[in-house]
Amino acid sequence: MADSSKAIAEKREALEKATMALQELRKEQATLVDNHQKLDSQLQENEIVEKEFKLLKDNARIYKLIGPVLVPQEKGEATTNVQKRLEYIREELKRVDTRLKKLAEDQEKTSMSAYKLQMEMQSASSSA
Amino acid sequence: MSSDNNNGDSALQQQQQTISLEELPLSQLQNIKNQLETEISGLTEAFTQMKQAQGAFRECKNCIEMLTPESQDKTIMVPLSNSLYVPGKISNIDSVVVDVGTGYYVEKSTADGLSYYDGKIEYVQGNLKKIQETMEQKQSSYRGLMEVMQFKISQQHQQQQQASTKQTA
Repeated sequence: MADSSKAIAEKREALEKATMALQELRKEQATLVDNHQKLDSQLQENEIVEKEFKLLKDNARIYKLIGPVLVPQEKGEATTNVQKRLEYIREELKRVDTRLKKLAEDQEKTSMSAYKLQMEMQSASSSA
Repeated sequence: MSSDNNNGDSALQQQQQTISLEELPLSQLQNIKNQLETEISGLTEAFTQMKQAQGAFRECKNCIEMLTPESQDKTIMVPLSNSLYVPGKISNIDSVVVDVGTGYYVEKSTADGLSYYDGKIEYVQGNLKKIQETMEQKQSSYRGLMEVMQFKISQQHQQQQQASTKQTA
């Protein structure tokens, strides 16, 4: 009798831990999804700018807004800048995507083990 | 092409949903309802934002159209802040500087500027149409969901009533 109540207490502790871990995972997932959306809109904006640059003549006058001033910039330089930014954003997106996938897997595992613990506790307390 | 595919997928999902909806418990239906409500309100917000963006582009276009040969050398008030203006003179009616995004500005002829904003307005219009289509889809599944929920609730009421009449009898 004392053994079974001890076992239940242990299981309850494990369950609490699993629930906490699940909450943490969900929190991280939420921030990552947020991040993903931000990156996505940045990607879109930069893609539009890249497309716009492609339509321009080589001698087109391009300015970059730095603080409150418009600074003239060569088309080539501006284009490589945007391309570099695109590259960076795409890499970041990939990173976020893989992390999100990993999180989804972890979440499933944790919730499965929590569910199992709950079941075990129920059967243990009903038999006790 | 890909959007066609998506539509097909969601249509399929909808069908599957309507088949299984009646088997779900009310609490889960409530969850789906909440989810749909957030989605619809998000789409509505996106729609208004798009409309506003389109309005801004239209205004830009109107401004370029004001730059006619007659306006050369005319005096205008230039806003330095929301409430501070200084007089200026229009010295160049042939070119404008356009904000193309991410901090880049491009000098364009007035004609190019006009076609740039035309393209933008059209692009936003396309997005508006897409948003509207998804919104209509969501709304129709929302209506379907509400019907099922109402049916379930009335069923529950009936069962309760039957149970209570049995008890009194």
